[in-house]
Amino acid sequence: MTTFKFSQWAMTLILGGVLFTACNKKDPEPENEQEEINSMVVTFSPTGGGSPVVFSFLDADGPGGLPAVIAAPALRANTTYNVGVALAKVKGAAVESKNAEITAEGTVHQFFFVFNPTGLAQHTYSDTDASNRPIGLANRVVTGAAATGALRVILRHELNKAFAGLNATNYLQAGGETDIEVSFNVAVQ
Amino acid sequence: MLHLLIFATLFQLLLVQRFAALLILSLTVNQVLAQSPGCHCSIEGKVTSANGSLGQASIRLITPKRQTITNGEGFFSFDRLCPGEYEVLIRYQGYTDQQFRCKLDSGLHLAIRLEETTLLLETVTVQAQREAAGAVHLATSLDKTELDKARGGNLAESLRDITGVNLLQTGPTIAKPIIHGLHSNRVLILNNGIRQEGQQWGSEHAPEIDPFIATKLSVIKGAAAVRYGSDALGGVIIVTPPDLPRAPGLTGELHLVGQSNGRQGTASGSLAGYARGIGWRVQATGKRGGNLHTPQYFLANTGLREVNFSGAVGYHREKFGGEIFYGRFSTEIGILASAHIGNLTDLNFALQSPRPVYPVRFNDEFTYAIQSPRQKIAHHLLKANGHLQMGQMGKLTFQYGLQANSRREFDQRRSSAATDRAALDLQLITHTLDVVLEHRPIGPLQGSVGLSGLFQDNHNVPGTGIRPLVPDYRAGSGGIFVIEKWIKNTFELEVGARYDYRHLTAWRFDRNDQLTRPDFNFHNVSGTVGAYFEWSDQLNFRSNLASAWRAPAPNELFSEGLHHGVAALEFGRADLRPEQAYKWINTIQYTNPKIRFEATLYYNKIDNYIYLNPQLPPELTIRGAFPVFNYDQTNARFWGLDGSLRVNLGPAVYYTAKGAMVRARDVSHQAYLPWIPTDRIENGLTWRVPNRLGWQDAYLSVNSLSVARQRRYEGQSDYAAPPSGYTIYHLDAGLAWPLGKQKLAVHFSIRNLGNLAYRDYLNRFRYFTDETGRNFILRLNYFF
Repeated sequence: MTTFKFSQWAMTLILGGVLFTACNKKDPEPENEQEEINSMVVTFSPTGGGSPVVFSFLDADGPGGLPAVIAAPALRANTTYNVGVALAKVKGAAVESKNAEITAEGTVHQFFFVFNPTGLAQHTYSDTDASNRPIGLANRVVTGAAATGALRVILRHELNKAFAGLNATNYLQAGGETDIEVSFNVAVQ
Repeated sequence: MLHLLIFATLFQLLLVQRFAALLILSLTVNQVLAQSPGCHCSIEGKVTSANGSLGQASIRLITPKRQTITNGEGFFSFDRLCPGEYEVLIRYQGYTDQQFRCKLDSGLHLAIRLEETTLLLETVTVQAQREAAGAVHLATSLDKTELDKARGGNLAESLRDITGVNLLQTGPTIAKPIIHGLHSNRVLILNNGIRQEGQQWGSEHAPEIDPFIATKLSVIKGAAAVRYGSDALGGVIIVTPPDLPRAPGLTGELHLVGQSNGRQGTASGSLAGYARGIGWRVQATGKRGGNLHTPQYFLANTGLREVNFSGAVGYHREKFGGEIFYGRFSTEIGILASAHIGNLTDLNFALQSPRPVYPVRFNDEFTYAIQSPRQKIAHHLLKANGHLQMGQMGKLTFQYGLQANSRREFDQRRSSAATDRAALDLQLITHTLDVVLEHRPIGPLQGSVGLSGLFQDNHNVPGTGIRPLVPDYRAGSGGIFVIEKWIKNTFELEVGARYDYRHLTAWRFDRNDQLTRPDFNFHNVSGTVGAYFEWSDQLNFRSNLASAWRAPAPNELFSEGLHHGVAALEFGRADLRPEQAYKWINTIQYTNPKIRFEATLYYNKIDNYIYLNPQLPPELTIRGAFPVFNYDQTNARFWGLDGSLRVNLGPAVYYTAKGAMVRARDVSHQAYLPWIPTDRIENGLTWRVPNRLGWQDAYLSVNSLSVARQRRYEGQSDYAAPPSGYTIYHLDAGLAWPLGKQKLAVHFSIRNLGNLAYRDYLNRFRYFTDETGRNFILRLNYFF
């Protein structure tokens, strides 16, 4: 006959379990999403002078929730613009630029500007990375005749920048990941 | 490094030449060949007990001296016997020996029923986990012999030979078992008796269990909530390690597996002994593999590494005993480089790409290197269990389990400075306690009553820089159950009931990073009723109707945003109710000397079935457009049929066939459910090669698997149409050499014999690549 009583065993085990749960859980801190980019501002500055046209994408609360706010004012026909891209993380009033990160890793990043229809405007790159290949934070765009269409601005990461004939139509074949892909409705007037 | 250490230690022990007393579960098959003409008769049969079929029972023929053991289902056979009279002796530890004489003319079928020597006292027959849930629940098992033929894969791959079980794969290195169409947290896995808790809600989170620790893998295909608690809607997978030795002497095993596809090498060894009343065992496994390949290209970043070890000590007496077990499983798995897609544009490109296009740091070639994206998981299990005779009351067993699971998932990061920072870093600690009292049988009535408790803490390790997928939470649950069985010789009836309570508190940040602490309470009552009929020793039938439940998982309640691993936005609902399932499962089994047949028909009604409901249009984020899914509830119905057949075509050749079909429907929306297994049939021909040159147990078998195309699916729930059906062939061969008391077995397999390029509907990466190509596998098993 065993010397342990069932009730004695039960008490020990239950007490042990209770002791484990007695310690309180500390409140966690929210995660600082430093890498998140939720704002892209594409500034078209006419080379001949005049006020710049600013395309912008802002998803204030991140993916999901409220929809992103996209703005794309009209561009002038037959005009040459210097186009600069500014990526940032916007949280309330705080704006944290992310361009430095892109330039620092320029050899694995490249922007692509896809106009639809292709005759809407002509695009050329104005900057280069450490291997003399374009990045796309600084560009030149020449608009054609008055028309409407779309502009897709894409940032690819870890692509093969040495891919033969790399351009805005075949960039997917060069591999890599899409970090940014935003579509703007373009009106050339 | 660990591989070398294992080799060195075991090699030293071999040299010491200690011949050990054999474990009751070790294999010794001595067959003396009777080469007389006209001797083509056979004796076959099945050994059962009050608790179901008995595997590993010893059957001995006295003249001529032949011996074998029963397989996981209790079957045994002798062939190439001469007509005449035979003395048959059957023994199994803990049961009374049976010996009788029988006359053999051409074929003889024996149905043997053993009785336990004494019900709860006397012989020390405590087994680590006596999972035999009675004859009412059919536990389809793979015993040691069958497992040793197929060593080297992960847990789900080890189970694929069981009908009704499929694999849900995420690329070639991650697989989860599906039972009757249900998987993840609708299937309960018992690892050495403890419910496996490790973020199992994720379809790309494979069970963190080393199949090498098991001497038996069993699947119970019925809803088994009453005995095991929540989550057992599809069934239960039971991983049973070997018993600790009870007799002095040192025994052990060494397994080596080499695979050509992926150049994967696995080494596993175990050592067990007994001294001064204490039995012990230590075991370790190491695995390393590199990039796998399809018939046309390499799958970049599909390497894997695994280091596992475990140890157990136990002390057993008639009236009481206990054991302590510790196991550690750790792995690093590469995720296919082209599967980490960005947005819908990228997905469409991948879908129409004939070959995967990899990011620039990956090459279409072989390497062992693993880069991000990858998973790094460690799982620790500490278990203490014991048993106690409570005199007139019965036998009390209790077990305490402590699990610590660490899951770190590394993704593509925007800046390379963060590549070594995990994107998901979860730590889950789970305590479980089970106390069961098996009361002393009252006439034909046997039963048990039990209490179980669980406490769990989930913690996101800060510093990922990414909003966590599931929040920090604490959960506690408790349950109480009663199961009674009425056992007669050819009939058994089982009735049971259980009450469960679960409490969940989460620490969750909303969109504005404000901390909220939602609280949830769930209650449930489950029941089970079943019966087992034995019409003759050739035909039996069992039927079970049981209810099961599952509380909503943290990802279903709290998801909010981009789930990078699946490139979709997923949104949870805090008002989800627990799922409620009623499964009715029926199995018929027929055996005669020529044919063995088994069929299972089931129907599973799942109310409040939680699923991902696609929502249009896709959401525009700065990364592009992503599909949107909302967690929702509906009423689902599953039903299906699976069966297996074995026909002896002669003294040395037999034919096997296995088939399964699953049908599932969302009855509220009159729609099909995604990721349901398609109809499949397997055919095989096995030749038992005669013993020659000292070898034995030689076999050669060719198998084919035909899988149908999935035609029951909803277009908007899937990114692409299901792939076409396929037929694939495999070859297996092996033999064993007895070396005195030791044994060496060699198994050779060729999987995907025809190097077929195909895609499987149940592989979540079928959008991106084909399945793996031909694979040559060599396995060496050494027992001493």
